[in-house]
Amino acid sequence: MEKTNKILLNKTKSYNSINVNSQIQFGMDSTNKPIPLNDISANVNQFEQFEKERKESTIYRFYGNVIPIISNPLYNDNIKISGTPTSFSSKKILTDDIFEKGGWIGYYNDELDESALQFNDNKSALCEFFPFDPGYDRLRMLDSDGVPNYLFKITYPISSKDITLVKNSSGVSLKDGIPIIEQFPVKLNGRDYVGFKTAINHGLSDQDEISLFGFEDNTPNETLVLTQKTYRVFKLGNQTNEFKFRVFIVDLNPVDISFTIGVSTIKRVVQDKLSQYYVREFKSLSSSDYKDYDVYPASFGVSYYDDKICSFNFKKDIDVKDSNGDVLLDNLGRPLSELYFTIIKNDNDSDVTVNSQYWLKQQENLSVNLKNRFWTPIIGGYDIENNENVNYNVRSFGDPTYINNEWYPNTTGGIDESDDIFDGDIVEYNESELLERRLELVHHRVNTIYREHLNLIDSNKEDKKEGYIYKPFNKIQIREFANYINPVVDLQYVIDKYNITDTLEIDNLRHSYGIPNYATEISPNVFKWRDLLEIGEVDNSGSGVDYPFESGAHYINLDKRFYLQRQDPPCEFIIIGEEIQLGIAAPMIDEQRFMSYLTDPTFLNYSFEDPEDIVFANGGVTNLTNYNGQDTLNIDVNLADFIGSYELGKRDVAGGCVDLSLLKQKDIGDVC
Amino acid sequence: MFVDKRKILLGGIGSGTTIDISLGSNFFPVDNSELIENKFVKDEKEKSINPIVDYKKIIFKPADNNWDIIDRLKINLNFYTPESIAAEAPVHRGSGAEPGVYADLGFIFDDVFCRTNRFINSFIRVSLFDNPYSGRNQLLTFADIYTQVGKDQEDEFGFPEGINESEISFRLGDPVLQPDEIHEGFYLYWFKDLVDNSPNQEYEMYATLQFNNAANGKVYELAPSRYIDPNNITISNLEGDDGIFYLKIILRNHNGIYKYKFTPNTKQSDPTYTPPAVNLNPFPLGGIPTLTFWQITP
Repeated sequence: MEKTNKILLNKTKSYNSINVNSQIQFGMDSTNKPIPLNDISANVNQFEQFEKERKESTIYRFYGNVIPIISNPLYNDNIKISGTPTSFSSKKILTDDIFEKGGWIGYYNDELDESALQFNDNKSALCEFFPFDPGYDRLRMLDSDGVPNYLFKITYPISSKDITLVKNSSGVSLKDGIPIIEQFPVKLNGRDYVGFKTAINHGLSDQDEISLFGFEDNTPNETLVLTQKTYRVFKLGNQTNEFKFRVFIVDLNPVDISFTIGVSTIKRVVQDKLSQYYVREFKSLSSSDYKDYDVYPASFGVSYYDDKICSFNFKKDIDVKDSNGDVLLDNLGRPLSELYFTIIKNDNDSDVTVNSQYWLKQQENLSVNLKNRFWTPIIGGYDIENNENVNYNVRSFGDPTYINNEWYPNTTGGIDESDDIFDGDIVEYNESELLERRLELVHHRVNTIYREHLNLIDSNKEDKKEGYIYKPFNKIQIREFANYINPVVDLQYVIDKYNITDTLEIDNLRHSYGIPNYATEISPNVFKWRDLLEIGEVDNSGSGVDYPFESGAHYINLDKRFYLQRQDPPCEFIIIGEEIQLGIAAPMIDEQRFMSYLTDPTFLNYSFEDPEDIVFANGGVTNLTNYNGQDTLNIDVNLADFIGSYELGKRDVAGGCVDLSLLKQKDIGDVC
Repeated sequence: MFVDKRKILLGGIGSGTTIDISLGSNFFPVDNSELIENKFVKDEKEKSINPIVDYKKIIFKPADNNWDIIDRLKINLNFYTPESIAAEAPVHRGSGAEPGVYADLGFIFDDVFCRTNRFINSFIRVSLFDNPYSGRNQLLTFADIYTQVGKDQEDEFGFPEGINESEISFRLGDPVLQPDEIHEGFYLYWFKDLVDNSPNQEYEMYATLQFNNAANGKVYELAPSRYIDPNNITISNLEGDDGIFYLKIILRNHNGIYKYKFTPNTKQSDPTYTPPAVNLNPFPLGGIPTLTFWQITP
């Protein structure tokens, strides 16, 4: 478009005006663009596009299998419950009729069951096995009553906290190092060395450098210089090379040094940097309403112990970005490299089934917050050293010796599957290595309300405090840090050289040098970090992750084992002999005791003290319980007393570690 | 910048004088290759790439009329009786929504008792389409369910019934809650993304059912309506939203739980007989939800 303007001199406008030099600004707007003279062709690289989308995606989809190893050695009582939810009865199962099948303790049906009389259905009415309660429907991953027994969650480490691992009055906690609980001399190569036992896994290796804190230097002139000097780990393990994870040896004369439990600690040292020790807390990324995933039987999938393997598929996409679109950060402020597939036991079993109503009836006199539950609230802890000064020992929960110890969370009603934040593992982090190492994994402990409070329910019985423990957190490595540490970047040098003072400019400088936000600032504006490898990127040591990317999401297959373990399986037993008198002149209580022994799971056998006592002229022993109403008959009853490491009340079933070859064993072939 | 200076003398200027100012340009555009390469081409390449399509499939569980999940489902098939076909007046067995018997299909007792190949290889195919018009619909997926010898085919002692009492029915069930039932075909697997982005988070499919008889190689079309006149079958009776052939299925994201429901039209839910062909809430309570299909042409 063209526009013509007339420009008149000032003189033509007014008589008084004079002409002056004028400057005119011309706008030179262009409304069209030059077009390229030739064709442009560009290639779209499918691989590059795939890599681009893969790097940008923060969506994860999890699917896989859980292979459970579950059984019920900690059953409530050896009884058979029958009837309806409103009218039920129970029958004690005699010791001789208690069987074990694939780790489950129960009984074979002793009454004809019409519904089980189907021909050709692999069942026989008299040989159907029923586990004692809690049985399949309360413990298995796949719940036959349609009420899930466990909740699956995806969690990530969000923060850290400090705990007092060993009781002390000096304010020493985990942040001060790994506590020492034992000291002992070790003789090696004709010399005396000192050995230390730690409360938890120490995470040390041979020749590691350590600092000792809170020890007593017994040398005359304090020549050990403990506060300034570091020491090498001479070797791991005790005199016989056992307990390498909890015991280490230092080349010191054992008489020169002494420790104080709860106060003396050690820290690993790497290039003058002391390790930090703390507990990680995990936050949930999925909901607690059981809608985020499907669980179903894995085709033909059973474990070695015939526990059904379950498959799961998270319908909900797990996004490792927050609501602002920023990538989620872990407890150290780094982009997430780990997620955790979390399995938590729930208490959804107080339903309207016959069995549930039976137990609710038994415990109706308990307090309001207990009587309507089947399972106790969960407590958390670690599988750590058996020492009454050590807190958070999950295996010791319930032992009266440990009554004043601490667990997670011990006072606020326990851990619940619906919680958002969970206490997790104990880790070590060293600023020189820029890596976290897991030292102890958290365990959850749960018991049935009936067993836990049996003495309150029936004053003639003692509590059965042994519960089940399991590890709830299963690591999923979604990214990996490189095995090398980036060369230190000294921005301060550049800042000083060019006298840069503007913080924005410093930030830009940091960006241009490729320093990530999570880099450790080892001194002002001097940074050090490990690269977070991209998905599909593998460094020279083989570190790195690679998993399918499809439909804009990362697919990660999980194959996890879940062990529901006994809290304290008894590994020893003694045989207890009880003398009983039966007959018309014998105390009535003995007859009741005898009947009770016959249904006690630990009953072994009985014998006649003197066979001559049996008077065949009176019919022999046709009614043993009162010896036919005759004079006294002395009977010796043998029972097993299973002994664990902790005082957790009566144990009905021996641990797998017990050598039962001395005891009579029977199998289904004896009766079917 | 070059400036062409000129002297303008007052004496030389008259009224209305104009001055031509030449706007010469001493530069010319080189080209925009950098802009083209870095912006235009990049943008065009980006535009040429298709958006990511989510191919994730998930399980949809069957639900009753109230969208409550059911753990069992029974499919009855009812065929024209051989006698009525021979008499050239084909009628279905019974009078209501009930299964036929394997004798109607030419099977003998030994087929069921011995599970012969021609028996166990016979199956029903449930095909799912995107709309109920055969001329323009597309097959989305299908499920095959093979013949069973279960509770419906056995007497109280567990022996196969006589061939004239052996029901043509298929029981399906949840693999956890009904471990003894057949599970294949019980769930639907479909794209989560399609359902989530449908109006009201409800997605429609249309099911048809065929029986593939391995004994005689015939394929029988069936429909969830008893009142079929084999002598007067028209397309309009079979197809469309009101046809008897296609049974509508609604897939739904029901507050985070994914379900599907059979939704019969008025012809398929004929109130003149009970129970109806699509009987998802059987009375009395506790019965097994049942679908009944009748042979269309003899």
